[in-house]
Amino acid sequence: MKITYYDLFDLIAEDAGIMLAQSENSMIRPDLCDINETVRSVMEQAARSGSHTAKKKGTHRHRKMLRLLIAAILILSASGIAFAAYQYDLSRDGAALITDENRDLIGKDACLTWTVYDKDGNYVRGTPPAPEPTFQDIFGDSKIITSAADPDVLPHSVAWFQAEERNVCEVTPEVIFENGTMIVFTKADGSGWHLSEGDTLIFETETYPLDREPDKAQHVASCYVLDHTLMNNEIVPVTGPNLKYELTAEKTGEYYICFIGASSEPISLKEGTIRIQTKDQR
Amino acid sequence: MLPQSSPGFCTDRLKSYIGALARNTAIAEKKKLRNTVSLEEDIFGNLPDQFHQAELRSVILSALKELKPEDRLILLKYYFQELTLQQIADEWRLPLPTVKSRLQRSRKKFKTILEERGFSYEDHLL
Repeated sequence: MKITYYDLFDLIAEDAGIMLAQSENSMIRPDLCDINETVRSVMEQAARSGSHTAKKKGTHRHRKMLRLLIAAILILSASGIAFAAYQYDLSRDGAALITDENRDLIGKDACLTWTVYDKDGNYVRGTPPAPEPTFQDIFGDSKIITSAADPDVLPHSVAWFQAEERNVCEVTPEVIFENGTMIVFTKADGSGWHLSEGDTLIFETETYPLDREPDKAQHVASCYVLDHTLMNNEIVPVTGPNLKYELTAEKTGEYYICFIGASSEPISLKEGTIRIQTKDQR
Repeated sequence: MLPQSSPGFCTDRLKSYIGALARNTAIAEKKKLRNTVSLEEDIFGNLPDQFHQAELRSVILSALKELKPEDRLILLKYYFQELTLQQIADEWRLPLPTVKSRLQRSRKKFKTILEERGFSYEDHLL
């Protein structure tokens, strides 16, 4: 009997649903759903529909009840959350959320590689040079960044992190990112911050110090996205633990704040805040 | 008909009955929504006669757990959640070709692990 991959996964449907939910840290988790509640609802539905009806009607109601159950089961086991959080890995993606699993990487030195070239720029030995990624390699079919003001100045990779709305500002998560990797903060729904001309977007956070040289200044390159175009800005030395970046809108539009690691060591940011200061408030 | 009036009826048995009923019906409905003709790359092979369902489930689960999380997740999203490659690419903000090659790679690894566990089959098509 011929079997497809779909059949294989159907065979392990319940476990697959749980694996999927666990992989995505889904807010929709089977363990949060009460089977007793489902059973009670089904019993109520059965009682409401009545049991002594014509077979045809009974069959119809039975089918309707089953469809409700199907919807419940499909939601429980087959649905991811609307905003599935991709699990970034520092070594693979160049950036990651700081969690208990990787907290030991904070403040550590990077493992550097070396490459030897001859006087004509040809590779001799060491780590082979990797081809420079293109805009398409880095951003793919991103709907947030579709072009760059300076296509010659691009990060090696990009990682997206959602801020959480709390009171009057958005709170960014703790993240760690390497040299050449760009981190982009978005709102919880993936959108940027809408600024009118003259408004200022203010980002404040603290960096974790380096273990070996706590007083060593680290550097980030700040940039921003305006209406889907990546705009370059400047290298910002981070002296002391505080990092503050203010972006004043030259024109009305949707803005995202981004940082590119510009130090040899990975940079670790604590939770930060993003808020808007309107032109009138200044 | 629910076995409410059956002798020996109790709530736990009802839960199991409804759970199994819902599960099987949900899977049947999923199959109806799927394309009736499977693509060649989605066909795993012929099911060996000696594998019973429970044993097969156990083999599949342990093979999945042996995969790296990202390999496992793409198989779950494509074959269980039945997202399209484009939907997965949009969700993960990756280029479509990258997602496609990851799926192919994961599928190959999964198949290799199953073969190592004695899941030999006739006519592999991949």
